[in-house]
Amino acid sequence: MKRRTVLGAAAGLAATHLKYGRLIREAAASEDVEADVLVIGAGASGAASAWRLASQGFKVVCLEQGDWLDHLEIPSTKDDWELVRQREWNPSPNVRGLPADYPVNDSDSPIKALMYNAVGGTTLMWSCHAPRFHPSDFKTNSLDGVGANWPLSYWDLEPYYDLNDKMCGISGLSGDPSNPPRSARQRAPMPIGKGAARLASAMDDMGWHWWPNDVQALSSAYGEETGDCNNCGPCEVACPVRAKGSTDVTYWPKALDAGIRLITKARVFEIETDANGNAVGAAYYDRNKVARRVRAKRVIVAANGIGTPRLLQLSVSKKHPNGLANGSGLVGRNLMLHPIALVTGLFDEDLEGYKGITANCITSQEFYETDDSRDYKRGYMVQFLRSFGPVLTSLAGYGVPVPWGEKHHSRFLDVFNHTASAGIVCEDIADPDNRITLDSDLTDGDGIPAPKMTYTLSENSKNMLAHGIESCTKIMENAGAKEVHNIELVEQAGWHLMGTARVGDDPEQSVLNKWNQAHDVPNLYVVDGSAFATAAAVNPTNTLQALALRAADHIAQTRGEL
Amino acid sequence: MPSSNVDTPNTDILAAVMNAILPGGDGFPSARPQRFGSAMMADAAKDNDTEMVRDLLSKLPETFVALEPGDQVAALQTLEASETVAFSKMIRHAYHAYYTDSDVRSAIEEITGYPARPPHFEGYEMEPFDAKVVAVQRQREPFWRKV
Repeated sequence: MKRRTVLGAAAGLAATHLKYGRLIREAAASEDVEADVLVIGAGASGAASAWRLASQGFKVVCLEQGDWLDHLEIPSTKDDWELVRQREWNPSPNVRGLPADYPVNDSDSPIKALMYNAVGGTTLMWSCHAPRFHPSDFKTNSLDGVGANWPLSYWDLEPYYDLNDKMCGISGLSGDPSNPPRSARQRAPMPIGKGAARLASAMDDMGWHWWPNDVQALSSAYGEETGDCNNCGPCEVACPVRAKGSTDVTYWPKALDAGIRLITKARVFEIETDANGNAVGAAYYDRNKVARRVRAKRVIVAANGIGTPRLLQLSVSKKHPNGLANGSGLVGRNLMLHPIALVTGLFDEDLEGYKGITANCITSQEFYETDDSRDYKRGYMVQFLRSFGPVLTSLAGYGVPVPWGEKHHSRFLDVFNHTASAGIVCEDIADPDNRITLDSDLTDGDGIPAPKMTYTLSENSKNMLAHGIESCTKIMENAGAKEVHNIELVEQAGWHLMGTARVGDDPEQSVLNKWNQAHDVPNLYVVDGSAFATAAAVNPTNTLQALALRAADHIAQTRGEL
Repeated sequence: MPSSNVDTPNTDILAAVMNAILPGGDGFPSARPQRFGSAMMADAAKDNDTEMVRDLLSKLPETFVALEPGDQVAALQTLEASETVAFSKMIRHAYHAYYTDSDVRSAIEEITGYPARPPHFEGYEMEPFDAKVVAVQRQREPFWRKV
């Protein structure tokens, strides 16, 4: 039965690709085009906003520097999948170096930039964790005297969280006492597995919070062209059964049906403006490296927290000498990441850690909020993780060493499938010195200046990480771990790129208003993580998709101004 | 004394090094057979590390192959201490080669039950979520911060 489901999904996929292939060929032959709205980037937020606008009758064009991914050709269908994910499928564009990628000079950051460039963007590599921000995350300055207040509240965003959940399908469980109430989830929670069950029991005994995650992975199929999650594990290398919420599966089929023109392998190098400084479209290199232009009445940038400030800084004109929408000087500044530490427990029991989504099962939000007795402000989420396959286990995947030599094999057997890990995901407080600029030397494959990332870990984050390690060590010990190891700061953790074109009421202290609309350029919107005023301590995708849907509705509501 | 020249990795040295790194036992095969060394060099080539591995091996004693196992380990430990980064990369390539070998994967399946196949398309069976596991948490009053 299961096999038939898989084959059915594969057949559906082939048909879908045929349909999309026609679009790609059309795009390759296209000349300069015109649109009501141009969306730059086909990832999490670009897909959501594009669909929302097209479904309301707008003529939408989307430019994406990557291409469609063939889910049947992903690494986890092959024996060397653990090697490929370290190379061609490495989350770092600097290691991967595919034609669609641009390099990031992240030498001045202890946390490295991670992303993917294709239709679906980084959702092709994400672990599908779809938590919501807390109401307090929108008011951290008023509540705790740190960060910036958002010009909108959780309650303003709540209907769009619900809409995004409905569009993508969430496997989860309502009733979490650490969060505001929410509607019934679309699908049952994912299995939590032996390791998480053991840690959950320990937290129950300790009186600490935990809850099954809201995930954009489907415990059972949800809508056409999706399949049941088969608990294969490595969501980070895409999903051939289409059970994961990458936007090439969730939003794009519906968006294309609504009439969007999606042009792939199109690398935008400038958002163009008129004599008044308003956006009039964008210039890009097509797949043949020919410069082309899309004219549009409104432009939405959805190129992630690094790509967006890069593009705005590239778009210099007489009206915008410091880059587009940069009257505040804040484009590129206030880069926020989620500093992450890892604590891993080694257990006698075989936890079957290869079964189920590797980086996503349950979370604890026990230490989410500020507590004045601690030496840091705001808080962290603990995201519990499973374990790796043989190759990455041997390479000390989550920090448990396996030495070479005569003890290698017995140690491997001690470790393999016998670990459970806790990722401490810290809220990052904005610092204007943490920023994205244009690199003076490094360029991408089209000769466009690459971004440079400058980031320093704050004392607040260091103290928070230390508290998290201490807390998670207690969880592991109470769960019966015979060894506990930790990684104080995970270097390859720059997934969540936020704050570099933030929202706010004051044009001198922010780049965008409460509708994600640039203060300086009213027909320009930014809908990716760049827009975040605070980082919260949860994964950002669900929130940036909700923001994108809300911004799209604002465009629709002000349609007469086009 | 360093060996005079290892233009292409000497297969005997390579086999001895692989065996010292991954000697087998506990149900696992040794990495001594030539295919492991070849696979390690092929993996190194993917990262442009071929010359690095050759250079590293050239720094082993000429008599390495004939040394007692304990002395081979000691020689490798000395090399690891002096060439930390390169040695670490070589270990990575060795593990890559070893754990993608079909015999090794079969051994893992036999010993641990972890299937010797890629994750897809079959995936893995898991017990479905049981709502009873949140019984304790459901008793807790909402504690999110009101704004």
